[in-house]
Amino acid sequence: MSDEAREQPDRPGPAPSGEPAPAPEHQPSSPALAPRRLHPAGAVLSALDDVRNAIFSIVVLLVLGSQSGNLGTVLVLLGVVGAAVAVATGYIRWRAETYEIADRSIRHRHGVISPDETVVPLARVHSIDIAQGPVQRLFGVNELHVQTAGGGEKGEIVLRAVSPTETARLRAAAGLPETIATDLPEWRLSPRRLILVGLTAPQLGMLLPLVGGAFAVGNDLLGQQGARDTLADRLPTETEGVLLLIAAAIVAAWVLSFLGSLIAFAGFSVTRDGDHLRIHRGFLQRRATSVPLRRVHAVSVAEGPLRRPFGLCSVRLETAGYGSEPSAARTLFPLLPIAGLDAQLAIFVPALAGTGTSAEFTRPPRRAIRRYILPGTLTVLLLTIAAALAWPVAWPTIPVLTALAALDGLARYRSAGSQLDSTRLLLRQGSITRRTLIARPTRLQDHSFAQTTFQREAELADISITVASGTTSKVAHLEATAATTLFNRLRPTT
Amino acid sequence: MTHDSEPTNRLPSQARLLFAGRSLAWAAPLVLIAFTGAGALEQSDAPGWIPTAIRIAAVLIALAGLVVEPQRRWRNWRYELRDDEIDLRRGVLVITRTLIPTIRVQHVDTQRTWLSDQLGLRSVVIHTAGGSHRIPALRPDEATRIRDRIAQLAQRPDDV
Repeated sequence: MSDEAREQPDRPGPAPSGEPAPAPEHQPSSPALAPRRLHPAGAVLSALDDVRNAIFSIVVLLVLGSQSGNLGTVLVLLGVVGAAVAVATGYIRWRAETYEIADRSIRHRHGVISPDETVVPLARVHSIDIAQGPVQRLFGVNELHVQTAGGGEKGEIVLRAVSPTETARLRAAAGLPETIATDLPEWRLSPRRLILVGLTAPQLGMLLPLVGGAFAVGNDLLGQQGARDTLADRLPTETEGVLLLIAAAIVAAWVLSFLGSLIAFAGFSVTRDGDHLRIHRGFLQRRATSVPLRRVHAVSVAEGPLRRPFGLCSVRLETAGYGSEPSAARTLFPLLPIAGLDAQLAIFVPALAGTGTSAEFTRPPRRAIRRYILPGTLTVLLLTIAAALAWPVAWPTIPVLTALAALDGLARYRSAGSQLDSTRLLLRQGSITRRTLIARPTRLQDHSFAQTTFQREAELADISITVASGTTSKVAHLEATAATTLFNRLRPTT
Repeated sequence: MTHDSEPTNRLPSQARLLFAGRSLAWAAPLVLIAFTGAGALEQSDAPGWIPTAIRIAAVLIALAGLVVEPQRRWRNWRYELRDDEIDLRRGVLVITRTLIPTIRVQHVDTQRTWLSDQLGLRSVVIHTAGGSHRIPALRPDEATRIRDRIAQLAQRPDDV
């Protein structure tokens, strides 16, 4: 993000439209907030940044110092001079950084030599998110992220140390409500569920090849260096060794993803405060995000291979501006029994809750099964045959991988389907992980109807949609008449 | 509303040359590599028909990319602007028809490249919060007209 002053032009004035103009979200109660500095903890953070940036030079100096034999002197000098410089620059930068609310905009000035000013109109502010790192928690201050539609998880403006009273003041001046009510609907991730999240994390699948690859490379290196004997001697056979390594890789991957989930989702909670969702999460870095409900155009429900057998799923928000964020930043429910999904949606994202009198879930017709199964299976069959011709040892992969490809196709056929009722559109797809995109049909970014020549002859067609986060979902080989009906029902009506 | 009508406007015929020019970017290297490889194989003791087969396959694939694909792509392309939606239909093997509600359009660009300049063509790129869509080849006046029309239609408020 550039540091230049950026002012997003207002959209040209309202024109007649079928859709009601959105009510102005933020009406500043007090028009202005005089320029002020960050909490002094900001100077500490700035000084720590300098130390971090200087680590390389410090290491170089230490090495030089140890060679000249005066390590002690160099260390002391470094400590004193370094700390003095860091404190001085931290202080100077802290002095130069101010924020204010004026002209219905939040203005942020910072920089000593070339001061930058960032201006964000209040009307563009989605939310002011709060994060707390270890230093912020030590001083009891907040790191504020001023969020707009375009920005990512890191805000358009980042104020790294703001005291709680100042936070409340800024939020009030920006017209954002303060949470005082206590009986708001809240969903918490219990410690038991948190552990389940870690145990069933979808990252496991992505980590496995990495860890396996690392082990393979390690094994190769050991073999090349002749150190293999020491390892192999202790293992009865080569095969058993490989199996042991694979088992170790799985355990390592599991432990990594388990810890990753714990760190990302510890203390996870969602509260609904009127028309905003507030999401708190994080272990080392506490994060609080506020999402306006009217920007939640869709949610996606993922049922991973380790979760689906237990009737569990995870739910992600599909919101403009957060599309490129890591999935933890967009999570609405890290783990939820799928049976309770509609009830939770009714509380937290009512626009996407089922109406109870649901329309029929339209599946691809039975004659589409072979179109799900054959292309992938034939491709795998040809590839494995080619591989077996090159390396005859690889022949067992022919039946195994081909059967897996066929099962994958069958699973995708069984997942596929769509449902449209008066308030929501539901598209489901996937094989190992089943994904359901639940969207507001009047908020789609685009929708498509696609056919190959063969599909046209077989009277089948694909339907796909895109939501504001950039996520697309496709259901393949629906009955062409059903696809046409869906396509036309999704068109904008005037 | 014109509910069941497919889009009607077609791209100018020079679009075929633009598509062919893009295919050249992979077709030329493909032929070059195939002929070099075939030449090398002739020196080896591989059966004599293999290099010939490689050459023929490379030429056929290149011809498909340079002639058949551009022709089909041009023949299938249709677009239409309506007050509330932009209707695009395109594809070579898979014919895809996409509707973009005009209210979702964030901004519209016209774009040109060296090749499109030589052919007197522009492309129009329509951006939404979810991604972008391109009408790849239009006459400059039509491109400008479409861009301005979409920009005008997109001025209605939307809450993304």
